[in-house]
Amino acid sequence: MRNLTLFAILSLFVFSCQVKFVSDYDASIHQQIVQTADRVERMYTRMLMDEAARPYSVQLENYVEVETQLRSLLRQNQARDKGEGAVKICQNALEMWTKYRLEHEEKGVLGEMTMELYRENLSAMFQAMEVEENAKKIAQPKGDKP
Amino acid sequence: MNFDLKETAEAMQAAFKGAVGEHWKDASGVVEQMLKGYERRMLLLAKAVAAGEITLDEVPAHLDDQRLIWEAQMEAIKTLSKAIAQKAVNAALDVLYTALKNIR
Repeated sequence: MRNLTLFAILSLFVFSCQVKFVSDYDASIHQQIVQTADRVERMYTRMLMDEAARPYSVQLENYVEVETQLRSLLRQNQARDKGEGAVKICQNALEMWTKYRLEHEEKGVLGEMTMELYRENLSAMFQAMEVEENAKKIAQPKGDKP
Repeated sequence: MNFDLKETAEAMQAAFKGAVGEHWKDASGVVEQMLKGYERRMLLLAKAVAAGEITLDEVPAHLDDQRLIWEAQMEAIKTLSKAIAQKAVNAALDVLYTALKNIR
């Protein structure tokens, strides 16, 4: 009887002691990150290859769409338990994106090397976002993999 | 009661080490990629400055972009480390739970 009680207490302790340091992996957020990163990549690559695509006015729709997606990612991460890391990355990405948009708007057209640099900078930012989301798969219990 | 504390502790340690070791290569590969990316970006910035497309006055603003990227990358590595730690600790707790379940 004593053993049974001990077992029950310890079982309860171990059950409640499953630790959680990161939020659960979210496949739809991961997908959204990949799609937004692809759109940014396509936008800069098009501007580098086609001079007609370089004016700010031509890219306005891409700016609207990407900013909307970044704000959506930020909002979703803010609502997640233990999502502080993803929130910080989204805030930095949004800050960078807004800065580049305003510069493009002010100058009208960006230089080729500047565009190459911005494409690389934004790619690094999205890589951080992807690594962060993907890492959460590691913590998922076995049999609970997406 | 067949609960061997030493044996359980060793099994828990092995489970913890196994979970960390399994993902250690992933983490170091990510850091390596990030460092290579930094090299590429610095090279592009240097080229743009050398070509006069970016002025020396504008360089601090571009270096600030690198700060934003580093901060984001550090957050990603932090989450990766936490996820590995979560898996390792829970693997060790699973071993403890199994051992406790087998107490007769």
